Parts: sequence; structure tokens; C-alpha cells
Amino acid sequence: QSPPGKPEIHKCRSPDKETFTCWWNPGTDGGLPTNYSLTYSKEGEKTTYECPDYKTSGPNSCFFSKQYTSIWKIYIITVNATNQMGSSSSDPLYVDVTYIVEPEPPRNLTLEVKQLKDKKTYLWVKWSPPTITDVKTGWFTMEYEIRLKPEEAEEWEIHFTGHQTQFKVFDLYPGQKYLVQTRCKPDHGYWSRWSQESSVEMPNDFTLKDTTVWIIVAILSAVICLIMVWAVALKGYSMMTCIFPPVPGPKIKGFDTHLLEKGKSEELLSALGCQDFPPTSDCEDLLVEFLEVDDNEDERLMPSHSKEYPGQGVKPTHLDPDSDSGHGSYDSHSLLSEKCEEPQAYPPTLHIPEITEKPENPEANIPPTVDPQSTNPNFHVDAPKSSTWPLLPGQHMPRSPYHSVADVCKLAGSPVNTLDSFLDKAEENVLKLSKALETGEEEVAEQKGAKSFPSDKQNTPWPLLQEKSPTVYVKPPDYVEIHKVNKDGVLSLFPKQRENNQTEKPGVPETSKEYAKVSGITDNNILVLVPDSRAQNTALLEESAKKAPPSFEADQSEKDLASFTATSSNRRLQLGRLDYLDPTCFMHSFH
Amino acid sequence: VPTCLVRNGRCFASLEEMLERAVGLSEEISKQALQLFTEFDNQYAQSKQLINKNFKKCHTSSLELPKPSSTSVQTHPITLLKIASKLLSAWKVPLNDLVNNLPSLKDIHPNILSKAREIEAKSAGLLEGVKSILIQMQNGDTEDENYPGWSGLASLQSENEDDRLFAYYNMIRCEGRETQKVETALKMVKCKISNENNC
Repeated sequence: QSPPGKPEIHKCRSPDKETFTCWWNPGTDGGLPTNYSLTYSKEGEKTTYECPDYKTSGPNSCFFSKQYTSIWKIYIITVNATNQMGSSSSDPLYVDVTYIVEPEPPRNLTLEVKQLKDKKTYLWVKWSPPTITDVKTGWFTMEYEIRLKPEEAEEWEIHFTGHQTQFKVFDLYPGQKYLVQTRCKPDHGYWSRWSQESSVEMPNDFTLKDTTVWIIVAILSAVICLIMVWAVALKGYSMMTCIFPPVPGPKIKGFDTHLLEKGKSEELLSALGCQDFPPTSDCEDLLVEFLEVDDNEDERLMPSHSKEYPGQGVKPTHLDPDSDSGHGSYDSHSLLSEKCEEPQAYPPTLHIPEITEKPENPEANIPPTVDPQSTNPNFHVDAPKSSTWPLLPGQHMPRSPYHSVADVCKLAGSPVNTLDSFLDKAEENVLKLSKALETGEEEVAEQKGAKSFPSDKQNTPWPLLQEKSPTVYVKPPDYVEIHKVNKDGVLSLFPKQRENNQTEKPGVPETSKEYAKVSGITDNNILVLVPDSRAQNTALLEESAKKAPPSFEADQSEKDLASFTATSSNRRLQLGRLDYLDPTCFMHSFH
Repeated sequence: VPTCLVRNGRCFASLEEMLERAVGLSEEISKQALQLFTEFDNQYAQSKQLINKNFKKCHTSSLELPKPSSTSVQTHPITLLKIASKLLSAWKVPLNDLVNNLPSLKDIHPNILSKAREIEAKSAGLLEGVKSILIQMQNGDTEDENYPGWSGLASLQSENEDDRLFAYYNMIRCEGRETQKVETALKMVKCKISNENNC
């Protein structure tokens, strides 16, 4: 057993700034019943008072009602413990009521979920001040706080709200359940306890679905963009390689870098030496191309190449196209061949040997002239003439139209008749000519000739053809005889002579006239020679002009011409006969 | 609306605005006074022994605010304003003496000095504000300048160190409590004038 322990004043609090309560902790009781008492005094006063109320606030407490509370004074409070063994006192506590105010928590806490115009949801929290406190008069001014958290969370989220008694909370998770509490504090006191919890569940908003949709869209687009960027990056790399292809390093043809790397200079030199040949070949190829382009140069260089490079047989083959160009020259040869053909067509060259032949023929003809009445010399004369016949028609055709007309007459199918008529006519003509010369009636002769031709043809057409068919084969020599008849025909040529005289008179000089007369006089029997001599004279004159005739040679030629004129007169008489026949054919055709 | 009203050559804001400012300022002074007491008490822990002595009454203890629950007389705003004005006037000289003599204490902390000077300046400003409000409400009638006198300067200048410390301790304690009276009075006036909307 001992005296009681020293008690301790726990705390003093005023809920309304008009009353207050103090609590104490008892010390040890010493094993004996102990009584506790609270005594106090006010500042400036010596009187000590005892606690007015030990019951209202519970055990070990003292309640000071309004009657015993002075707000603007300091209380000096002490607690005493007493038992049979003794007593002890606590340390004094100085209390200023204005600084020990601790109000009750706020009341009527209400939670409400609301939505703004943009469908944004928020939590509206509102409450009322504690009841005991007289706030309306300004005796108190309170400040408030609220706190909230999701139901499962550990930590609270605190918001200071100032003097207002409502608060809006945004950005809460939909579908979550939230717990909310509030408390208050006077201007110079302590915070109250937290109020009772209120809870509310936030609804699942449609906006949440929208947000999820947008989130999904965003994620997908992000993924797509990443893929595209990745692809572009890869393609870009490949595109770079395409756009900027690798630049090839410089290389020497036939040069082995491996040899350099190995350090084999000898092989390098040998390789370089070997390389000397290919460029020469390249040069040759270039030269060849050059030569091929220029034909002339190729032709010139052919022998040199053949000499220098006998093994290159290909070049001769290349030269073959040059031979083709030679073919072009052969074409020119073909032109030359044409030129060769052309001189064949030259009649004057062909005529020249004939002319040379003719003077030979007159030499042979001179004896026939000596024996004109014998028939044998006529055949001999016909023989050389027959040799000339195959040439004569071809030659005569281009020469003169008269010959062509003669052929037409032959084709008419009346050669036999013409021959017989020619023979008869020759005799008659000779007689007539002699008479005419005597009488000098030229017109009568012409008229008789015209009449005789149609009468002969009309009288003996059929029997002559049948009888003379075998003789026709022989008639070509007979035709030669006709030439004799031509001599008689010379008589017929008198009208041509007349025409010739008419034409000759204005154009021919006197010297030619004298020559013509002389021939006629000398050959009274051969009066027919007068026109042939004239023709030969003209030809001889031309030849003399070509041969550069001297005076003496001209005289000799004139003599020769006189001798030749006789032979030529015979032949030309034949020609004259043909000429004479031609107009007759014309006459028949006209009839 | 003009910012202020001019009367007798002075510029007066609206009544509600002036009261709002006064309440705010008094709250600041009250908090700083509590801080000053706490710092002084912490630095001079020996003062606990000082408390064992008899507490002297504050020189403005006689100026008490009526309790809000009293039914005897309905407190009029002018009555409350006059109490606040007397309190502030009664403490004008003591605060000046406090600021001037605190440096004489050994090892005084600079925070205590600056805090004391700040309280003196703001209290002077608040006094001017309360007088302006009274002038507006009474239409210029400023009578009744009686307020309790201050006779503690001799104690602040005592040669005895303990006596001087006790004097300063008691003065700082009283300043804190009396400042709360001014604050409460102004708040009650504000609630009455604004039809208890902001209370």
C-alpha cells in the first residue's frame, strides 16, 4: 500500500466555443481506493474552484458549461489523486478556450451523379455544418475537406473545399463504387473527425463504349501506320539501291587483281605482255571495218593485206562483194554487147563490101556484055546474084519502100504472070522504043504500057499458074533474065529518066548533064544506061570526095568509072526494072 | 460603378468590400500572433517557471464581446465595430513599445523581431479600416474615443531579467487573444450586414 500515482490531464476540447471538457488519465491507485478531483483558477484571480460537473462527459472527465466558461480568459487546471496513504497532483495545464475548439463532423452528406451538356459525368457532393456550432452569427467560420476512394482502393484522395459546403468531382471511373467522407475545422481550432461514409456507383456511360471504339480505331491505325512505315523503310532501301546503282570500279582488261594481291609481278608482266596482242587485233578489226566501209580503199589495200596477212583468207571472201561491183561492170559489158549488136545493124558497113563486090562483078560481067545475046553468060551472071539474094531482101527492106512494095506484089501471088508479061513486053517495048525514037512519040509509049499490063493479067490467070508452078522455082534466075528484060525495062525507064531529067535540070550542074549525054551517045544500043550512069556518077563523086581525089587520079577514076558504068548500067537496069514494076503494082492496087 | 466613394476628401470603397478586407486582414494578424507566441515560448522554455507565477490580466480584458446566445440585448453591428476599434487603439502603443524593446533581450531570434514588426504594421492598417467603416455607418459621427490605457512599459524595461521576460511573455500572450476578439467581432458584423449569406 502506497499513495496514489501522479495523474495526467489528457486533453481539453471545446466543440462550440461556449463550453469545454477536460479528460485525465489516472495514475496507479497504490492498492487502495483513490478519489480524483479537478481544480482550476482563472487568470488574474486567486480563487481556486473545483470541477462543476464530473458526470456529463463520462468517467475521469470534467465538463464546463456555458455558465463556467469564459472564452477570453486562460484556465489553470490541475487534477489531484487522494487515498488513505496520501495524495498527488498533476502538472498544471493552461487552457485558452479559443485555441482548443474541435467541432463535430459535418452532417447530411449527400452524393449525386450528374451529367454536363457534353454528357460528361461527375459526382456532386454536398453537406451541412455541424448542428451545435452557431455558424450563422459569424461566431464560427468553418473550413471543410472531403475525401473519396474506390471501394477496393487503399489510399484516399483528399480535396480542400474552403468555406463552401458542396463540391464537384470529375474524372471518375465508370462502373466503380466510390466511398466519400467529409470533415471541418474552425479558424483557430482542430479538425473534426471524418463523417460517416457515403457510397455511390458510377454508371457505365455510352461514352465509355465510344472511347473504347476510338481506342480500338487508334490502335489499329497506329499498327497500320507502323507497318506502312516499316514497308516504306524497306522499299526505300531497295529504291535507293535501284535509283543509285553501285558504281563499278575501274578495271584494266586482262589485268588480274589476284596477281597483285599475291604479289606475282612476273605473272602480271606476262599478262600485260599477253594483253599486247588483243589490242592489235582490235585495231585490225577497226581497220577492217574502215576498209569495208570504203570500197576504193579496200581495193587499194587488198594486195597489201594479202601480202602482209596471207593466212587471212576471209578478206578475199570480203572482196567477193567487190567482185559483185565488178558484176556491175559486167552489166556495163552487157551494154557493150548491145553496142556490138548495133554495128551489125549498120547498113553502110554491110553495103561497103557489097560495093567492093560489085566492081568485081562488072569485071566478070564485061565478057557477058561482049556476048549479050548468049543465054549461058546470063546463068553465070545469075549465080553471083543468087548469092546476094538472101542478103538483098533484108537489105532492101530498110533501104527503100520501093523494094517493100515489090515484095507486096510478090505476095499478091502474080509473079509468074508478071514474068511472062515482062518477056513479051520486053520485046514489044524494044520495038516500041525504036519506033518512038524514030517518031519521037513519048506519050504514046506511056499509054500503051498502061494498057498492056491489065490486059495481060486478065487474059491468062489460071493456066499460067498451073503450068508454070515448077518453073516458079527456077524463075528467080528467070527474074535475073527479067533483069535483061530490065534492059528492055530501061526502055520503060525512059519516063523515069524524064522525071530524073526534070529534077536534075534545076539541081544538077552542067558538068553532070554533059556526062550523062556522053554515056547515052556511046551506047546507042544501050540507051538504057543513061540514068544508071548518072546514079553511079553521083556515088563515085562521093567516094572521090572521101578519098581526097587528086586531079590525075580523078581522070583515071573517070576512065574506070566509064568502064564500070557499063557493068553497073546492066545491074542498075535490073534495079530500074524493079523500080518500073513498083508503080505498076501501085496502079493495080489503085484499080 | 466607381471603385470608391469620396467623402470629406477621402476615398471609401463599398461597405461589403471593406468588411471583406477587414476580416481577411484580421485573420492574418491573428495567425501571426499565435506563431509569435509559439516561437517565444519555445525559445524561452524557462518561461514555464514563469507561468507558475500569478497571471496578470491583460490591459484590455474589460473589453468583452457579448455571447451570441445571449438574449438580453440584440448585438448591433455598430456596437461590435466600436469594441474592435477600442481594442485596436488600446494595443497601438503597446505594440510599438514591444517592437522597440524586444532587441534588449539576450539571443532574441530574428524571426521573433520581424514577426512583431509585421503585426504592428498590419494592426495599424486594420484600425484605419475599422474607423472608415464606422464613418460610413455613422455618417461621420466619431465619438467615444475612450479605451483602456497601457502601463506595462516599466516592466518591459525592468533591470531584473526574469521580471522582464515575464513581462514580454504576458504581453505576447495577451496580444494573441485580443486579436481574436477583433477577428470575431468583424466576422459577426459581416454576417449581419450580408444577411447571413456568406456565413
